Amino acid sequence: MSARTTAPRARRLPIVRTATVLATALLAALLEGTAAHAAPGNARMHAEVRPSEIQIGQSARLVVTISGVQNAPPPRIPAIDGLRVQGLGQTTSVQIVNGTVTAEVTHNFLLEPERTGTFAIPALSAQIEGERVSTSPLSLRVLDANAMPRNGIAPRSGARAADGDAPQEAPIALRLTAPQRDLYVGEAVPVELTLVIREGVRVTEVTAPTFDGTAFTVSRPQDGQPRQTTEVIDGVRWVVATFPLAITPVSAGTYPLVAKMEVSAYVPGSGRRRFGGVMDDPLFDSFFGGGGAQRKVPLATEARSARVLSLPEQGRPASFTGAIGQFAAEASATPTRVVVGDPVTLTVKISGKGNFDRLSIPVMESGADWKTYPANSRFEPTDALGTSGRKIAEQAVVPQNAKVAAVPARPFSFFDPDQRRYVELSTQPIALTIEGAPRGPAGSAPAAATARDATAAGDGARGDADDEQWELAPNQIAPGVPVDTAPVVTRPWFLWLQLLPLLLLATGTWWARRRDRLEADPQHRRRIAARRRVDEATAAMQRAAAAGDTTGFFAAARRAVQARLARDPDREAESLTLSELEALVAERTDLRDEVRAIVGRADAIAYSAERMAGADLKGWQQRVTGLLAALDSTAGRNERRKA
Amino acid sequence: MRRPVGHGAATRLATGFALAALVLVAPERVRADEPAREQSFQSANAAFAEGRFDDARATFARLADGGAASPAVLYNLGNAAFRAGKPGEAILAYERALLAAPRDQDVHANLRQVRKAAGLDQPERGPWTRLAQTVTTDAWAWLASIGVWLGCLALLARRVVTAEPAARSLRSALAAAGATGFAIVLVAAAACATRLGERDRGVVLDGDPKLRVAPYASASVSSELLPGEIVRIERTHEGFTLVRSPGGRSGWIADGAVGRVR
Repeated sequence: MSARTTAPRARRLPIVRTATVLATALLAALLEGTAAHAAPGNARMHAEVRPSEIQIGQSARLVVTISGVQNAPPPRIPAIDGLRVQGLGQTTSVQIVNGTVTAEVTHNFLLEPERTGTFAIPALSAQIEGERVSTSPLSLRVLDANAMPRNGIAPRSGARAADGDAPQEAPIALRLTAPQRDLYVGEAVPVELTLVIREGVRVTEVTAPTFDGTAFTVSRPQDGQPRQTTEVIDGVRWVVATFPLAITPVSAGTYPLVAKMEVSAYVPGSGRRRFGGVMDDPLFDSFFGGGGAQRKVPLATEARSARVLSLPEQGRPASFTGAIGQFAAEASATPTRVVVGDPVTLTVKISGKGNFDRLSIPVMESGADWKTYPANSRFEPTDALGTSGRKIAEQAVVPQNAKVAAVPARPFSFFDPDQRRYVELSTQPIALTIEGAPRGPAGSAPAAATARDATAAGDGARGDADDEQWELAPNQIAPGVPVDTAPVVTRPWFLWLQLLPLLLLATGTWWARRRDRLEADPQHRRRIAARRRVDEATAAMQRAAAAGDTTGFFAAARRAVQARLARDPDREAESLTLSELEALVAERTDLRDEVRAIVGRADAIAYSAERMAGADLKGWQQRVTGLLAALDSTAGRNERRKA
Repeated sequence: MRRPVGHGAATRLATGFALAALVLVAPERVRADEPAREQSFQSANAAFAEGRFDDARATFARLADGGAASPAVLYNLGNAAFRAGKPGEAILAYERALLAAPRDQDVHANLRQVRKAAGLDQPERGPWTRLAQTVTTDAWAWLASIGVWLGCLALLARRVVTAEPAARSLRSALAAAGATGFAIVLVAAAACATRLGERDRGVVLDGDPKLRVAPYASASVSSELLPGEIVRIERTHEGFTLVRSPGGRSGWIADGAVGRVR
């Protein structure tokens, strides 16, 4: 029979249990058709009373497990004087592992005693698939309501309620877990104070724990909340609230180490009538107020004493600054490639367990080779009490000459209370590369950089009292170059400057498209060339008319007409004869006549060297211009018609 | 043989002179005042060293307001103002210094310190803001300009280069350069806009930091800001400025109680 079990945190609701049973039964039914039945003849039956010892008013459970079958009727429970038995149903469990089916059926019965004493439950038997199986006899011990069940977690040997209650009857108890060794002055000693509360007792208020006398200071976690668990011992649920604390001895000597606490609690009485079944759930105790009265209960832990020693003088290292615990040290530096006068951020990390509040990190001092600045340190705890974690110091150090080869090792020592001796540590030297010339007076002063680094390093981290040591970076020593505060984008010339490439892009694109079209369309190219020749001839005609050059005028007029009418790309326009020109405009008699008149006249003048008056040339110029315009419009119409 | 200087050469010469004048005249004007400016700066530093922070602050402020506002002057003004017990003015000076010298770690460090001392939260900056604040507004503007030129010229060159197969790789390279140029324009212009937006910020000074419901001295006070708080300036009206704090508080504050980060 099980003497001690751990109850689940959350109580499973009846509906959940029912759903679980149904789901299991459904699964079993589904498997029945596909999986092989458990082999007959393997059925076994086992019974257990949980718990085997309870108080009057409580109930126990009789669990009968029949393995090797997927279905079995409940065994018959004989009547037992003073003990009511109530069936709670059955659960079925089927497991298939590597094709092997194992199944068991569990029948649950509620046992409700009506008196104290020991109840004998005789051997149970049942007929399972033709086979007779039976269990061993069992017993259930029922105690008085105020008696403590066996193996209870409430302390009995010495632990007591401060008002002198008998320990076996205490529904609330307090106990202290502390190292069983000598303590040292200044040591941060983690201890645990445990408040044990029996089910049904409702604690409404808990005072802060204190320790007898003034020999210890107490540190509590920042959140102040205890860690809470439950335990079930012999059917009784106990709430266990654990308060992590850290105590620090303040002077040497032998002192009582007794913690005290006062709680306000409702202690249940026997006023409420018990109805059995689910109505006896402690939930209803709370709902109905438990039937007891509230009272203040002063508690104290078991009386014990602790010997507190001073740290030994013998073997105390020079670098010891008060650290007690177990620690490790490491150092780093950035950057490691600098010029003389440039700051280096030295980071020293001390990690471990101990009295971080009294721990000082070894920083560098200024000297011939180094100029140093106040360190900025912060603590990053890994527990709520701050007795473990790591402390980080960042210090700006500036090499003063190029002979510096490394950031020197940083010594650190602490006292290990377990080993009762001092431990000396040292970080590794950090190699530096000093290069180039020292920084001149013009830039920022080194101090500026160091304060800057210290500030940047502390940004976002939890700082401590060293924060107050931060100084402003010093003033600049040169006035610098004045700057115009008006942004350049507000200047018109800047905006025009941005339009220039856009214009260039637009122009270049237009040019490139024109070039591409000329390359791709020979007809268009010829038209442009013809137009250019017509323009040239027209200009020459105008010049000749202005100069009174009759021969030159008509020669230019003929060239203009020839260039305008030329269509064959393989033939020079000036080789076209009058008859060919007339044929090109044969469909327009008016134009043909005008071509004939102008070109015929030009031919005649070319051979006769006739001269005309300026007014006559003007008239011919108008005729030629009109003819060219008419030819242009006719050509345009023709092109549109073709298109 | 010496070529005669023609009309085109004369034009080019004149243009060169004009450009040289543009480049040289402004610094020369500064150089003319340089000794007096240097002397004032050093005297302010001396006053600071002697603990006469108000004197130092006044001198640095004169230098800053007199058109000689360099990051160093603004930074020293911030230091002097903080020492003189005016954290709002100090924060304003540091913020102004950061406009011209956004990566100056001394300014950042002291600004952080002063904010801490004034009980102000450190403003949270997202990744984009941090990127935008790595360089000045003008630097972003010029980068955008370079992007415009690069993009336009690359596309122009790609358009001009013939489409022959031999030039295919060249055209691809030019297309990539153009795309890069315009990508630069997008990023730089957005960053420039972000930084320009910062100029609408104001810093609550150390005078009367009360927020009023209307731009009148007799208007009821709706809230009060802390010296050094950053606010967004929305508009002004007859001696009052409408501001909005990052927390959403809005109201009118006396002009003298807020300084614009310009």
